[in-house]
Amino acid sequence: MTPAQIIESYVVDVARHLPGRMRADVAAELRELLTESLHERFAGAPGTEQALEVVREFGQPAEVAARYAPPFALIDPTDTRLFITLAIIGSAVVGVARQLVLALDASKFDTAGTAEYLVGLFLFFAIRGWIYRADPQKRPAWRPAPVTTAAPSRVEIAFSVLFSAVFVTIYLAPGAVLDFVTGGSIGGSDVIYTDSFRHWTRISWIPLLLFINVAIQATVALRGRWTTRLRLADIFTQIILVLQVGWHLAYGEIFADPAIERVASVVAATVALIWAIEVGVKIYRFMGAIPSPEVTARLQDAHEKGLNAVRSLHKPAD
Amino acid sequence: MAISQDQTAQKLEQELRRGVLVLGVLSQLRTPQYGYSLRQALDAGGMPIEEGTLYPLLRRLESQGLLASEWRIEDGPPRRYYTLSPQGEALYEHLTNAWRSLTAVLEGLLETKG
Repeated sequence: MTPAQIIESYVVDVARHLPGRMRADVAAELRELLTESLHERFAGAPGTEQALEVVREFGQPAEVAARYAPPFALIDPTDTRLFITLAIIGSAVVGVARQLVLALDASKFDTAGTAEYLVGLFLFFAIRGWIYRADPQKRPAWRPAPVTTAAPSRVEIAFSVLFSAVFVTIYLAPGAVLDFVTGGSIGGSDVIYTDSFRHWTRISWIPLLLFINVAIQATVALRGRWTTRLRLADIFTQIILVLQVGWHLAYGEIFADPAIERVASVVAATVALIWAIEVGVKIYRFMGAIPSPEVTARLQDAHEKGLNAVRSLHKPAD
Repeated sequence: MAISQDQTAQKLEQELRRGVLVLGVLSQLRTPQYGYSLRQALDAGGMPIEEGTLYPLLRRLESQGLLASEWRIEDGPPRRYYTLSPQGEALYEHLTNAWRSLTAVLEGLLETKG
């Protein structure tokens, strides 16, 4: 290639990265400037190597084009971390929901898959970013959100324990509960598990997990605060619960009566879906959590005591 | 990988220079210049600047209405000449005053023991 062809190739490459309205004008100027620079730096008849040196020093074509027309991101850099977090947690929740629906094998039920969720999330952020770039005034002013504290909510704990107790009771004796609630008018005696489901390898895990959940809630209530380990244990237990329900639904053969199995499966899938969404919210909150002012003050206090202890060791002997 | 002290100093110095680059460029465009001649003028004045940085900067300043440009043919190939627009002249005055005020403040800070 001749030096002129190298410059032309470079100019074409830069122009390709530019918006159409700028392309011709910038290309004409760049061609002239690079040619002039080449001849000023290398007097006489500069060759291919010299031309390559000049254009390489000028920079990568895409980077040079970005200096002429500053690029923009489809997802704003300030939104990227939130986008990734919502993409990961949301995909997991949608994936679980999808599996629950598939496990029910109900043709009238359908739900968006992970791909659709991700496309929707991407479009939401891209359109929102575009609107805010076009008119920064449209970005709403910051508003304070309720502060999550380490102190437990008594109502939440009471509800969680009560729910676990009710769920386990229904789970272990569905027929008896139905008779109790309806006064025997519906026929709770028909609501019986299959022999396969009654085996301890299938039936025992959900009560065990709910018992662990109650133990966690009780520990939080006694200690008067959530700790990192307790939060992780809570999240982990709930994930296993959702997977357990999903496994039962996928395996089937829960109730002896197919009609009852059908209704109960929809109820169980709905509960599991609510748990999946709840655990997604818990993970999101856990990932963004920072030590409360009280914890920070305690850490600073401990640090200061440690420093004083070290200082006292280094005191010159009287 | 840890950034060495030298790299940090180099990066911070580059940021300082980048901050005053526009003022340096505007100062040389009170008379019309084309890209290469402007670069030589800045170089001669002690403010060397890479071509890949200077030429796009000229276009950005023009798109902001601070520079006016035209193609001219004067004993050589056609060249695009840039000069301050009325808006650019006003901004140049404003930035010059801001720069003088800033250097006076900084001189005071640098002479005061922190």
